[in-house]
Amino acid sequence: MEWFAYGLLALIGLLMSASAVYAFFWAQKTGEFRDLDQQARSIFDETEPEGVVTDRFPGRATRASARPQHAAAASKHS
Amino acid sequence: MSAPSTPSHPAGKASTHQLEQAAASDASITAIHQTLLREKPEPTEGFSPIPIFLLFVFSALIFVGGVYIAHYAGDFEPMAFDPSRGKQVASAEPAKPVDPMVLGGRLFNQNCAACHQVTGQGVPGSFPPLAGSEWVMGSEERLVRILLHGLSGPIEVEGKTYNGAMPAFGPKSGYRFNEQKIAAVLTYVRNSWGNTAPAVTPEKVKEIMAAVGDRPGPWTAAELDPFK
Amino acid sequence: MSSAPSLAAAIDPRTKMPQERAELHQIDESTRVLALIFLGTSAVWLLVGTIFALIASWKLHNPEFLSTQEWLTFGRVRTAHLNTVIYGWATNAGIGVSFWLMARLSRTLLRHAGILYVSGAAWNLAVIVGTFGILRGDGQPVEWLEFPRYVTPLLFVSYALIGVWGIITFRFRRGEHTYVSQWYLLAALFWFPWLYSIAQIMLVFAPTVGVIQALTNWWFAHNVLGLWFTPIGIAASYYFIPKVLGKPIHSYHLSVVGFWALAFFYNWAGVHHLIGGPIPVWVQSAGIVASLMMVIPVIVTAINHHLTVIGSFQQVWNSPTLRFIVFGAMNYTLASLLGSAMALRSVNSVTHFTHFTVGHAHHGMYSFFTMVMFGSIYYMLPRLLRKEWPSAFLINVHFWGTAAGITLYVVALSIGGWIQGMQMNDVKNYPDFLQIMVATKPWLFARTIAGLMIAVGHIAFVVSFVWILIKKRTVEETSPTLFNTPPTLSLKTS
Ligand code: HEC
Repeated sequence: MEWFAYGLLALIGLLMSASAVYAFFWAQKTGEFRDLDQQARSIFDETEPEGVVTDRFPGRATRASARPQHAAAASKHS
Repeated sequence: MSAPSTPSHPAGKASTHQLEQAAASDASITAIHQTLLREKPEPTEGFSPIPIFLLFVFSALIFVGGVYIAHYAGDFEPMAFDPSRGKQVASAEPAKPVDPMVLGGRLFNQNCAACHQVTGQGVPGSFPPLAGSEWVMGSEERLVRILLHGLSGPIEVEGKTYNGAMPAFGPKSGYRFNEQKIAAVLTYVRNSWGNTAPAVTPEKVKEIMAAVGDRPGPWTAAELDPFK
Repeated sequence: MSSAPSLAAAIDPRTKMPQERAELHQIDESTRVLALIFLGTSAVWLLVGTIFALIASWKLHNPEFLSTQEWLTFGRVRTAHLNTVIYGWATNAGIGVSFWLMARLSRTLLRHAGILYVSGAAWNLAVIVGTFGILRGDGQPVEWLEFPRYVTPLLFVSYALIGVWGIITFRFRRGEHTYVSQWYLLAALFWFPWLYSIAQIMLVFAPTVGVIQALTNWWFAHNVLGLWFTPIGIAASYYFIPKVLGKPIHSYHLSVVGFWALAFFYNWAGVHHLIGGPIPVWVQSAGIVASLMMVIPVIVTAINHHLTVIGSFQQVWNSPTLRFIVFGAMNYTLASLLGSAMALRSVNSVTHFTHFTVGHAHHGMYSFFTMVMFGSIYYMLPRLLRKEWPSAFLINVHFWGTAAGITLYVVALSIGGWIQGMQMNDVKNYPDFLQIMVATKPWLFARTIAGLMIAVGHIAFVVSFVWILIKKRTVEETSPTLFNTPPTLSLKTS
């Protein structure tokens, strides 16, 4: 019984390692490691494009960070 | 990633536009132009490899890691638990003799101080003092016996009567002190807090252990009288 | 949208997935119920865990507090705290965030989510029963696995379903590219069931003998942090930092290196909890070296997180999400480097068995992971509910309460723990046990103060959470892209 348990555990361990190796080669094959800097942009699209800040404190829209700092400081505090 | 799918260059529009131009100007220039246009984002961003200094840091780390394992692996022995194993084999230094006062001090603080206190003064009414005690500085025959099997029932120490239970520390007890530990802790109590008495040797302890043999329970003061 | 492929087709590896790319707001909508279930329950568990934490912390400097209540003795309350925050708060929040991220990054709607609702309910039921069991005195004597054995199968099954569903969601992805966050999430979804099942078998159902138990225990406990929570936290940071700032991460190349380095090294590191123990010395040394090697993925992640943020601090400040996440990312770097140092034998001989270790555990679990989860929730909820957060004030209270609180916590326990360790190792003066205890007391008291600050933050958070759920949607808030391109928010300022 004990040896059966150890064998099973070893098998699962092997499978885990094998899956990691497989994932690595799969990624290699499907081009996941190519063209990396372009891939970094894959999180942006037309509705949430690059160059646009997408989060802010509620009610702070007009004091947007995007404006140059001195301009933001000079504008009235709402 | 192929050019037509890059969102910034809608393929359809661009190419018809280019085609119209091609009719009016030099076709080969347009072709080059178009290629340039298409590749524009890539050369600037390009492929950024790991910065060289990081490579150095990582290699150094891996090197140190390798050396560390080689050094502290205990020959990959399943039974080796000590990181310095394997290094001492060559030098074969003789083991340093243990200073009984140091070992005894540690044993005392860990095992006796809870009752007799670090100062050896005991707790009035419950735990007798060891400092100045005639039991401590008296005969070692009696003292070793107390430690081996414990002591209970009324006793008198420095003129006051106590009636408690002192646990056994011998090899058969829960504490499993061997003769070296017993000798060390007794040497320590006999020479601390102003006490002065000759050291107890492990040989003597062993002798007494052999003489007493097994004993079911703790001693009483009366039983120890003959060993005064 | 096109009708969802059938369940059978989804599991069949031969199915190709012809999907058009879903719009982000559609995706958000498809994950709404699921995310709300997991995030809502996580918020409740957060409060419950905080209460247990405060009781336990108070007991450490005033041991007589509630000491006559059998159900609330230290051994049970502390354990209940650990398990509610790990399995109740952190795991629920992690799952909610993971699914939302996974669906968004895969550009696909979440399919057949019904089964996830069931497993989410089962998971939470198991945590409730388990916590109750611990308080009753049924706990298992294994750290991080204290839930009584009558709930663990339920936990495992419901989790396995969740994990499989994450992977199926990934299978529906719309081509293109697997973003680095997806790698981390996929790996985490894979690793957790592995860790949990092996630990359950080897420790509870067919217990191994002797020190192998200790080894398995720490392999599990450390890897829950390293291979389950950490990947989720990093995945979220890798998504939200560039997303909110609107600029890609500093070096995508490095992020890939970081992922594989983590996958390769972390698994070994747990042994550093047993340095000096009676386990073969080569295993300990391997654990130490693996902990040292963790510096590689950590530096890589640090470079990416911090260099992306540099130059945009104003934006970080103006975004609730990024305040929390950048705080978390900074502490990930710090906690991990400290952790590697703590694995060295010389340092470990001081910090082991002291409050230093406790401080370090909270540095990782709270300053890093929990803060990242808070940040993620601040981004997700408005999109899921299409409403603004009701109060900037509450968010500020939440941020300052938790950030200042946890920093005080970690600093106090690190100093107190170090002093404690030095005293325990002081072979010249042999300070006795009581002296050492008394010396730690002021630091433990500071810990309770820190806990109270954190609790205030949590209350502000939960109030915000409930408020945004029940408040009415205003007219301007109905557009799904409200948050995407607010007219005043263009970055193109020449
Ligand atoms: C559980 C508390 C306890 C511990 C621990 C303990 N003792 Fe005692 N010891 C006592 C008590 C109680 C007596 C008095 C016994 C009696 O009343 O019969 C005593 C008596 C003695 C005596 C004889 C009386 C005297 O004061 O000289 C000596 C010597 C002694 N202990 C040494 C030690 C040493 C050495 C250790 C540690 C290895 C130790 N004890 C650990 C409780 C303890």
